[in-house]
Amino acid sequence: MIKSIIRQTLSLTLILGIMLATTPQSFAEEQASTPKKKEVNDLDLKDLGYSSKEIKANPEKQKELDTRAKKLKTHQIMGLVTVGLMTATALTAEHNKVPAAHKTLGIASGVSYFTTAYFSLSAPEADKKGKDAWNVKAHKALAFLHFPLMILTPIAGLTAEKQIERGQSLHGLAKHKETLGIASVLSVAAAASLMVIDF
Amino acid sequence: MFLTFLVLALFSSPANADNWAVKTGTLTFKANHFFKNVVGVSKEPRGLIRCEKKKCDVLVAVKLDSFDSENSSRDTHMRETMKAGEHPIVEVRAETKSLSTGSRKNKATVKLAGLEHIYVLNLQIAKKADGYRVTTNVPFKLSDFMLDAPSLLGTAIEDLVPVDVVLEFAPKAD
Repeated sequence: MIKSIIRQTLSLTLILGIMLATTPQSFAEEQASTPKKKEVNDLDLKDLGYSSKEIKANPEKQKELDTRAKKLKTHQIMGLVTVGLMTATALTAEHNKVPAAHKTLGIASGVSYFTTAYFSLSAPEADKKGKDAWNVKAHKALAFLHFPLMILTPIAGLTAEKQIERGQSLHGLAKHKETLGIASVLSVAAAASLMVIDF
Repeated sequence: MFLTFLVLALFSSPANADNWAVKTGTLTFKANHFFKNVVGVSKEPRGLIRCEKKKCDVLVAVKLDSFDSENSSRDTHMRETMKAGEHPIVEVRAETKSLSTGSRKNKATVKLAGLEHIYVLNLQIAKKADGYRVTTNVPFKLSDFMLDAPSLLGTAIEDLVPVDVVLEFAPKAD
């Protein structure tokens, strides 16, 4: 009995001695040569398969997004101002007369209109991952109508002013000034409305 | 016999963790404005649940440019608002004791636009044939992350933009 206990104790001591002699070094070697096992709490985006490029910040991209947002916000505000000015211009028009208010408002409308166009045309493009909504497509398409109208209408207005000053009856492009003016207001107002109804 | 047991006890490896990864899922946000309600959906969430020793760590993430509200111009503006250029991915981290089925409340930390905010979520966990289905609603607020609410005609969208989350997890091989 006692011999058995002594034998088991010696065997155990031998095993423990071998472990203490070899384990620390082998443990250190293992730590040096193999990557540390991830802790459960250290879940990382790379564990989900995202690449460094996908995770990485892109300040230039953010700057572009910010610029786009600011320019389109200004375009939105200027668009509404333009509709207001154009409506006031139309309301101050008189037959065979060129009221000062009408002329002033007309000039202001033109400046406002082209400023509005500048902020839209100079804004960075949207990411083309998705598609344009129907109202955005229609808003852009209406530009092909109101842009030429906003060139023709002031020309018609100036021509009409000269003919009235000479005492002539309106003819040529000047004869259609009223129609061109109303078409301009309605097309710009329609374009603005589309962006309010479904934004 | 005793020595054999001792050797086995000393040299046995730790128990393996259970890993679950998102197989499919959707995140749906709803933004409310006076003129219109907008719904945007992402079908590209990724996630991992790692369970070990009666604790499960959860990480769910989604790229902000994966959200689609059927209006690319609006989606681009959303990315600008969420500062996606600097922080392209929104993360949700949580800890839970187990994946037991049923309903329960659980804290989750949402990281967005460089900031973190803790929400208490009502989780619904259901067992599926090959994994788990987790659904919840995140009461996300723009002000929680100091984000400027987009506006139209002087009226901003509501601060609360709730996000419905539906995720299907399947076992992940190590």
